[in-house]
Amino acid sequence: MTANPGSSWHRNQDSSVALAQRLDRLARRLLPGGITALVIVLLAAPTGFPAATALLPGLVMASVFFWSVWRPASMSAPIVFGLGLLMDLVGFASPGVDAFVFLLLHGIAVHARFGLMRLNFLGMWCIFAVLGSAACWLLWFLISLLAFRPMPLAPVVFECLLAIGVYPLLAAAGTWAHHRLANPEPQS
Amino acid sequence: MIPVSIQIRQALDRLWFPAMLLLSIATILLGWADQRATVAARMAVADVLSPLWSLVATPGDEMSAALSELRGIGHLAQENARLRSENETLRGWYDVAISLTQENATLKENLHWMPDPVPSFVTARVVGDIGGLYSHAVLINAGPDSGVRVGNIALAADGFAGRVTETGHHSARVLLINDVASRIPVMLESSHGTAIMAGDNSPMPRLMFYAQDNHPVEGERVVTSGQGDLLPGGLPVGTVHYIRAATPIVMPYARLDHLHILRVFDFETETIDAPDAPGRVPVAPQRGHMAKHNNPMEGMTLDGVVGGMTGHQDDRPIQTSAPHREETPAPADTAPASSPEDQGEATPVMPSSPLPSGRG
Repeated sequence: MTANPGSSWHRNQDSSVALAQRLDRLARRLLPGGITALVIVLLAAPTGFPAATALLPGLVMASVFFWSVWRPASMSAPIVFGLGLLMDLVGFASPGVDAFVFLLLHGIAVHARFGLMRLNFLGMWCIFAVLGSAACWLLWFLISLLAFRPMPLAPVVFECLLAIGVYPLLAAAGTWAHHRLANPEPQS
Repeated sequence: MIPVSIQIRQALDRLWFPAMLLLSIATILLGWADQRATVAARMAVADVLSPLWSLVATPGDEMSAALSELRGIGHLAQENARLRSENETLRGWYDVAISLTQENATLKENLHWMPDPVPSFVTARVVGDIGGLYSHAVLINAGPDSGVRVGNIALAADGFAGRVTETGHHSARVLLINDVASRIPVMLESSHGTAIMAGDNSPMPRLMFYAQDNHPVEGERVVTSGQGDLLPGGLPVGTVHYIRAATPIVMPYARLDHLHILRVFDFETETIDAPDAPGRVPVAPQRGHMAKHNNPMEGMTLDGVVGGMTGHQDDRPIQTSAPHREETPAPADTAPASSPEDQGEATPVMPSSPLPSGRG
């Protein structure tokens, strides 16, 4: 039971190391989803962060897209669903709407990931710009449909622009994390 | 982990996506059909997260306070001079206020004035900006434990901010007045008109359904009208501003995008019930009387209502309101929602149908 991989004479050393390794791998695997969930919760706090509510969908979309392409095991369908549901409940939107839209985005990204991975950064960004904008408009459509009235259009445009603009930042952080922190099998 | 073959695991992995997609659609439908469960789920999440949010908000508050203090140090001399002059002005107003208070007290005593019930209130910190992109609402860290109930009124330091729409155990959601779902009956102070203040998710709510011959005046104060029994009258809301011709909006006094502390008042407005009127004339002949007019909508304007309320009748003779005033001494059937003071005068011209002459 002692998780001390440094000692050399424990009989159950192998299994404890394996357990620690497994936990470590699990933590690294859950890191992208966990950080995204944390961002959802923190951005809802009144931190005075400008345009936090408009930034949040774009940020989560970028995260879902990036990790679905590069590491679908870390951003699996249940995790995407959980993130969407959390965002709906925290943001007091109709429950399931965000989850549905994020799942569609995730599905497209996973389906086309081998084509997408061959693109360079600019190509990925363009694809995300198209998909993210479509997702924002679909979100607007679903919310308007469920509320029985057309919601104002200006926030959607703002939301799309923020989603497109935040992607490079997230991709840079994500690429670093993808190779170091969130990698279940670090090379070193 | 259960050891399974790679094929089975891949098949299971492929199943996750459609399963989750179906689950999300089911969640949309269920949440839409059963609003009560949705509210319960949201408030449960908010209850769990509100302590965390207040933890996060505290350093931010302190930092912004420190920053504003630093900024203030630079303008100390200017600020001092400004405050000194303002203090002189305020001292004058203080004398006026004292004498007016005394006069008011004397008058009320002479009139045997029934004092308004003193509302109880709770002060709460805003711990979450939970509106999202398509609604405007905040979460406060006080719930039914502290006496906050659905329908209570939230006031910021400067004016009316919103109403409590949902409560959890120790948190409550306040729907702000600029939310797209918010409709507040308001009174325009200098033109004595009434209107509906409708939120449209922009920072400034619009004015709708005002009388066409009594437009809101630029810069006049907007207060709650107290009609509809949801709100007490006279709470300061904001000032009228025209962004375009014929598009009046309200510039709220409360800074709706930077709310930190809200006072939640329980005005207990629902306890005011119009008394029954036994033996009064039934309403049916009155409707027939209305239909005989060339224009059955005549007199149903907001202006008529306001004229009746304030004694401000304009030159145009309102034929419908004068005979009705004699026929229907108490308005229990036509408008049970009106407050006792404006009964008898305002209500005969206030049908339950939407007001036709106003526009938004």
